[in-house]
Amino acid sequence: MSHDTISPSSSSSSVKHLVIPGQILAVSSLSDPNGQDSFLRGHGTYVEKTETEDRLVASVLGIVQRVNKLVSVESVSDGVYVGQVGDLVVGRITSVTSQRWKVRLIPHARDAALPLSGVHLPGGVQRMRTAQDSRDMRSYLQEGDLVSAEVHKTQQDGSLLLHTRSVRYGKLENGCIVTVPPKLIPRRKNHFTTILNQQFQVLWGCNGVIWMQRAMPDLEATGGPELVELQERRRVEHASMPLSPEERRNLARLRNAIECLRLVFCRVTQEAVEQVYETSLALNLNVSQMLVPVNVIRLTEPSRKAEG
Amino acid sequence: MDDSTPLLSRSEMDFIREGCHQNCRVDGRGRDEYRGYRIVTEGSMSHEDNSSTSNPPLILSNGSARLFEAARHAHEDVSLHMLCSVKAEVVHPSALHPAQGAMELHVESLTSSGPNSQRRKTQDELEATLSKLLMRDLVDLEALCIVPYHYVWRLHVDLFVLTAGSSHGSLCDAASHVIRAALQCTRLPAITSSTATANESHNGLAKASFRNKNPLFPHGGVELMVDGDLAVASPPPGVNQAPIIVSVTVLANSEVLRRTPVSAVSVAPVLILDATPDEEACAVAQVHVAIDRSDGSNPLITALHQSRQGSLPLNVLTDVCAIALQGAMSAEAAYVIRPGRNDLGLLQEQFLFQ
Repeated sequence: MSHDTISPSSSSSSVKHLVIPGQILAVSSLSDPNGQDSFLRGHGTYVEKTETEDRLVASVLGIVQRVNKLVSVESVSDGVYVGQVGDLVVGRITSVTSQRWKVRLIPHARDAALPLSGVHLPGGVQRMRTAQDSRDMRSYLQEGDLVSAEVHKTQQDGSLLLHTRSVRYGKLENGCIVTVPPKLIPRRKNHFTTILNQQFQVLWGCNGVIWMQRAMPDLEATGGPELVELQERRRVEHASMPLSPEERRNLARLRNAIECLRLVFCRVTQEAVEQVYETSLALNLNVSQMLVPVNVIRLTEPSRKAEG
Repeated sequence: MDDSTPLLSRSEMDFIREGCHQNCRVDGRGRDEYRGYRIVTEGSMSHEDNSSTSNPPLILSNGSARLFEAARHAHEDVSLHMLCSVKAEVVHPSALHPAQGAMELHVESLTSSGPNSQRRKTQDELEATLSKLLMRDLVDLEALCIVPYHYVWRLHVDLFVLTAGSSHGSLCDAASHVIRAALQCTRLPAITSSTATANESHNGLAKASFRNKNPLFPHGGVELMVDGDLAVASPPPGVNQAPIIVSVTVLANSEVLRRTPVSAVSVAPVLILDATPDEEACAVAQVHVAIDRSDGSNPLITALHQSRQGSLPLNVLTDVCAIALQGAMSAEAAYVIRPGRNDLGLLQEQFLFQ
């Protein structure tokens, strides 16, 4: 029985190998432990041990990546979001239970949990959560609400615990979201940016949900409890003030810029989005015209070139 | 709230309603703007030049068409993708309508996401709505009669929703266009009937003999001659009058009133076309208007159907009809019918050319 294998030594970097689960990627014989055909197991693969040899087998459908002896398979399915501690995510509350909110980060996956102890109480006081607090949970966040949060902990089974214990996190209002494959959002130092001449605030959720709203006035406070109050007041002010038609058109343009990048499967970064936005202005495109296929191709040309 | 409507926060609903009111929706469209759709049908309508005659989406059907969103990513199933097949057969007419052809519509949703019960529900809803609105007017049933009391055509229209994606909002609209496109490229072979019993075969004519089994007419032997030549095959009669559906979504205005100065707002509800699911979630009512545009300057409303629970004052209905009639024109432009060789996404095609 012969196996079609891609041995680490023979796979050239220029050729992309698509492999299916169960396909053998590499074989190293046990009789020669110092041999040249040994490998390191990367993600997307597992090792199958037989009496005479170790086999590296793909566990996902994807493209083989190889760095020296490390062989991994990069999955082609992009819907998977694997949370890491510290990720900024944007999710939607799906249910409220006695001690926690359930937050949907990506559709058709297990919801993450936001415990009552993981949120700031209104007014920013630090104290134990009482039974009254858990009765009032719905007044703070209810089903359907969008929240920004940080991944606090990943649990054994892969489910996530979130927290919003910072002035920057919490309920999102008066703006819109775009959902892109999580893979398109690279992890950055800062996922909360103000872009395009301080016009918009954008939250690049690591789970692929991007929240955008018009920029709130700058918060240059020194800290302390008054900061929290100030922040809360600003938030309410922002949420209750309707957008002007001009602001709304600009926001729609930003949304469509992100949508353009999603359609051509390019990384959605601040730079790329700004570029598409500016190009659409330079070409004098109507906001809704941006999603006409010919224009999508034209607008995203630099981004596609950059990614090769 | 049932499963099929997306979960939205109050703030998002306000945002969507205000946007519609300001004539700038979340994706930048105006109230009466359509997204782009493509319909791929058989190569050429006239069968004279064989070079451009190419594979229709389904080669075993008498007519077929495929619809997808113009802006779509080739590997994602988040955009709309529909397939329509028309199959024709010769049957005995029903006793009630002996001189009428028959037509059957079947909708199947093959979307992979969501629970089964929900999928079945949307499927049944779509089938019911389409049947109510379209079935009477799609083709001229009387002209589908071959020999009264003996043989008539029966058309099976099968609609497959492969992916419903983000636009399942306007499934009815899209469905009406793809059905119409499929019917327009349907070819029914020419059939001549005779009572002659002669058995010699003619040149180029395949002769099929269907003996009448109708017990009412034991002696009426009718013979049908099916002409196998595609050049004389014709589309089902009356298909050019097939209506299209324009769904007008009615958004309440009370929420807008709550947040903006009263003087700046007209009290009439906001009407939009080609709604997204999010917009439908904010709607109080939706009216599907079937419009026959065969007489270009003078479109004709053939049917109305209201879905969702919200009540609709009668004066709004006149606005709805006016918007729908206007929308029918832009709908024609939004759904581009293109005889195509392949069914790739448009974006993918663009890349192939580069």
